[in-house]
Amino acid sequence: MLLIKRITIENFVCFNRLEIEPTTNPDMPLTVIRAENGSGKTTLLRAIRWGMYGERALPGNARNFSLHPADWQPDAQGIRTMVSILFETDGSSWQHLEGQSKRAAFELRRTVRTEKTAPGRSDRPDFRRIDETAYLQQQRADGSWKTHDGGADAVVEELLPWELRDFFVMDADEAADYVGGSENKTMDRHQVIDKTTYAVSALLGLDTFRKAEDRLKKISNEFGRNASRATGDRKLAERQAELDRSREELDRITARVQSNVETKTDVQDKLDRARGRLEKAVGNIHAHDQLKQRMADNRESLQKTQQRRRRALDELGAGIFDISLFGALASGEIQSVRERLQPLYDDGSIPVRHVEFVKSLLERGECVCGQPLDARSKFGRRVQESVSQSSSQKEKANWLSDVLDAANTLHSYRDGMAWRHACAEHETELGDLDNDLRELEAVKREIDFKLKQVDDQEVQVSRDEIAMLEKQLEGIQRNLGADDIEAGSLRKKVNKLEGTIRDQQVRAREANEHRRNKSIADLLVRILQGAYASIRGDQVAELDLQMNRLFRQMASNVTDDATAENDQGKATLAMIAKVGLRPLDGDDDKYEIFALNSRERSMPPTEINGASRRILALSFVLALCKASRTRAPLVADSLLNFMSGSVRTNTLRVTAETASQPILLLTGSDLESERDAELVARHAGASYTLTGQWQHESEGGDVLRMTQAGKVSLLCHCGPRAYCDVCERQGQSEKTGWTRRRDGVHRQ
Amino acid sequence: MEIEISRLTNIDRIAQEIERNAKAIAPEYGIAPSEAVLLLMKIVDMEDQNSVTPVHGINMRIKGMIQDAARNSQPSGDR
Repeated sequence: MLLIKRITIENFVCFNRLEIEPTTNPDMPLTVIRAENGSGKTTLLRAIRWGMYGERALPGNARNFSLHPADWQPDAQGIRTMVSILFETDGSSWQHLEGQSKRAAFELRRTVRTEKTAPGRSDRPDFRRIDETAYLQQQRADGSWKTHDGGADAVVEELLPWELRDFFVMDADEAADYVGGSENKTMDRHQVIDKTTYAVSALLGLDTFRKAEDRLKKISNEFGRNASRATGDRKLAERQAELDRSREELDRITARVQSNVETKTDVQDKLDRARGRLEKAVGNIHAHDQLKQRMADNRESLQKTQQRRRRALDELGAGIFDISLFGALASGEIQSVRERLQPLYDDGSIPVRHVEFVKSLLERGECVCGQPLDARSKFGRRVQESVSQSSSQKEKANWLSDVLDAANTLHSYRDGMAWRHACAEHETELGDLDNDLRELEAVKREIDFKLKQVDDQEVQVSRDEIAMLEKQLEGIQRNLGADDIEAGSLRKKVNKLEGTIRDQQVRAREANEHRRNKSIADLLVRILQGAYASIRGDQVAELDLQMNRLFRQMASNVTDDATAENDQGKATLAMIAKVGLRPLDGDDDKYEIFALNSRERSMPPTEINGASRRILALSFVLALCKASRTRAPLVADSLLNFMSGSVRTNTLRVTAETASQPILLLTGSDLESERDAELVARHAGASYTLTGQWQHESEGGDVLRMTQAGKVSLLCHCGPRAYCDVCERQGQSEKTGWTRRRDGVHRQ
Repeated sequence: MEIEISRLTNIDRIAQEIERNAKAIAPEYGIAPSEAVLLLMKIVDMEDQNSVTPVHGINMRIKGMIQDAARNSQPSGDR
């Protein structure tokens, strides 16, 4: 919805300053601006269009078109032209649907500065426009204004697209473009069709439907492609099975490892307990071994000591016996034997042990002095002879030697002192040996005591148990190591498979999501297509009926339109039996306006007179606005031109009753009829009169008592049958039914 | 809040037709008709806005809306 609340124009061609406030009263929606030809109706229409669309709205070569006032004397500062359109809207369709609709006021303001340029070619203007700006302000709730983010041009394009410029701001001639052009302009059919189709599609929302549908189809396809890409790997199931198997194997190994770990823990515990028991039994295993070793060593030492003692006792006993006996019986003879034999022994006369030695030298053939002892040498032969002589006396010599030994032994004990000394030594040795034996016995008792405390059987059981447990532990450890390797390998495999499958599952999920998204997108497309078909079919059919109904209302009771204009020979309203909108054959998305005669023959626009074409175009505009619930202004210039009385009245009435905000620029002649004046009085919530100052009587025109020198158009609030100081024309005061306004005159 | 403005004036009829079709079709897709209507109207509105001033990332936004709707709805088995 869009309604204009105020139009302000400054320095635009023939307007110094103009301010119009169209009515927004739904009960009296008509705004009439009465203006004679040349007063500025078309300029007013151009000003509104320029304010909305900028330069492109200007006719012909826009650069050469003078926006600035005609009486402006170019100077260095230039002149600023401004058009401001204050309008009200109720927000977007979505906000409207959501119940968030909020009426908001906007001001579209477009300004430009015109400055003088140096004289150039004659076909070039002596001015140029610079710094054209357009901005849109939105009124806040507190009444202040802020710049709208949408931008002026974009918003205008959204609300009143350029293609619909003559749909809402209608020059009668241009409006006829919908039906093939005006009397002065014929359009190609495809241009007409395009223009009509655009209006239908835009206002019924079909273009938006089509775009949304196309976009959703593309999005749906994209979802589909994504789903296909995501499900591209067909080995997912196989990999899943492989993963399951690996997981089972890993679970099995893990369970086994767990079992082994538990067993190991148990064995370790048993081992610790066995070791504890052993420790408790023997202190520690090494101490027990050392004790046993000590025991063995002690036993051996004891045996040796006892043997030594026995030998010492024997020797002592034997010595005492022999020495005592011989010493007592033959001490004199012993001395005598010794004295005789010792010299002989000393000088070698008793060859006892020397003979064997010398024999060995002879066998070797060399003496200890290095001389040869062979049979050939003299020395050798002499030694050989000596040995031979000694050998024969060997037995005797040995006996004598033994005798000498005995004599010497007896001699050594003959005084008793040596004997006592020897006895003392033996006793000392025996004493030492006895001490050793006692110590060894004591150690033995100690060790025996300790060993008696150790339960050898228990120790052995513990030892066996420990050995068994250690062996078991070793086996478990070995198994754990192997399982650890296998589990590590499996874990890697599982991780890899899990990663792969996870990726694929993600892709599968994505595929499902994409499929689901595609499904939703497809649904939306189907809904849109269904709705589109309904709107395109049903609503266009409604539009068709509505258009014909409005046309018939405007053409009702018409008998005189054939004489209203000069296009004789062309079809008049009375000849048109039916009008409407229809899709093109072969292209349901394009539409054209048609007119049929009473024989249902299609009537080309070129065969229809101008007034009928305008009415046809107007019926289309009004019907389309009504069908599409479009609430927008309809600024129309020269709409009633060349229309006969009844047609004019009908058109005025239908327009006033159907359009949301009709703003009609009419001439005085359009309102000559009493019926028309009453009609305007009934529907018009606002009336203005636009007067060209050059029409002032002093200038040869009609406007009276105007003193301003500038040749500008003036606006006052005078209605269709009123006049004031500003707009009074010669003879108005003499007309019946006209009223002079003396109060509230608005002068520009 | 910024008041968005739109020329799309046929909104009541559009909403009516969309709602009628959504009621007929949406349950088949496991989505509530009201949700489908809301979704479509948002999309139509966005498309309308985009026809004049390009809506930044309109495709992504519509995709996101569809994905949200898909997540919030349950499919009704094979179709």
